[in-house]
Amino acid sequence: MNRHLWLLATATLLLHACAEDAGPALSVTDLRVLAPLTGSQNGVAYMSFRNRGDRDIVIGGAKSAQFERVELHKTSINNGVSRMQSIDALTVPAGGEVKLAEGATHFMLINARDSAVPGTPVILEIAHSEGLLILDAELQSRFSPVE
Amino acid sequence: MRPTMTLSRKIPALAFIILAAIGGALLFYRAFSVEPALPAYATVLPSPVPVPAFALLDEQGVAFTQADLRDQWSLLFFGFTHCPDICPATLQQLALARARVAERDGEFPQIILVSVDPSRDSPEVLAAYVKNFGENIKAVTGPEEQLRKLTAALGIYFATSDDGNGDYSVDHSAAVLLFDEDAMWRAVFSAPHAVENFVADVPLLTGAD
Repeated sequence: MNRHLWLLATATLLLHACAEDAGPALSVTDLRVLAPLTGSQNGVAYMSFRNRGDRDIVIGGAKSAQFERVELHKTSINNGVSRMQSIDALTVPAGGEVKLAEGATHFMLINARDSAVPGTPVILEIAHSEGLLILDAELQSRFSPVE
Repeated sequence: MRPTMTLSRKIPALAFIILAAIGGALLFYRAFSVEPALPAYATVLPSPVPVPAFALLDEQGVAFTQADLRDQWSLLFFGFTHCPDICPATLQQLALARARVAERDGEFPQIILVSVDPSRDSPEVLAAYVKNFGENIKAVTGPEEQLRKLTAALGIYFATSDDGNGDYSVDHSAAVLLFDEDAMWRAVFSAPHAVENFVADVPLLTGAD
């Protein structure tokens, strides 16, 4: 009887430990969603993707109800010329991190639908190879101090 | 009778005294002279380049020509308002640099955005846009042929680029150019930019420090 209880407890502990590790592999930190500037219709989102899984995760695209389109873009400067190109996918390597930052890869939020001013809520739905990541944030001013 | 120094001994002694005096003067000069600081980030043109004639409109819809670059130093940046990333970032950096220089009572050149997207960036759009970055930031644009007169002379590139969704972006040189009070092009700040680069070098170049 004691041996059966011991085995049951061990099994329960193991299951509990596994459950704690079974969260989504892809997570986001340092999220900044910047509202369009007055005179512009386009915003931008920067963030860091972290993949704690054992497989590469491919980010395919995104959308937001607050903007007509959301596209992955990459700013590059070659020979002094700045180019912003739409990219189809972004790979976050297994166990790795990819940063979307100013002057580099970013989500371009195109054509704000309603009043998209700092302080208003924004939801970003990011599709990736393991599912969907939904980010619930607030539009920030570009001129807010970075935390 | 005291021995007198012969001529053969006087010459080396005199030579030593003269060399010591020269050495001392050099040491004094190096210790106390102030060498002018050189810009660390900007590239100074070997010779100032005159701005060609051009005819654009500013954000108030008023004519803006090469004459409007006279009588004050100017920093020009070429971009467009539909860009959410590097263009507003650069203007923000320039505005912050201006504020930092003003904190120590320094003067800063006028900041001018030259929009290379005249199809979407009307004077009204530009007026609303530059206000985001503070007061007294100008924006100009105009017909492509007039933009090309200015950009071609300055080595500035710009071209539209279809995004495949019926919209377009504008590829453009990311440099910030400095002009003096005679509307002569004097220096270039190459991207990537940083507020500290402008704070350090602009006053050196304009003599405002």
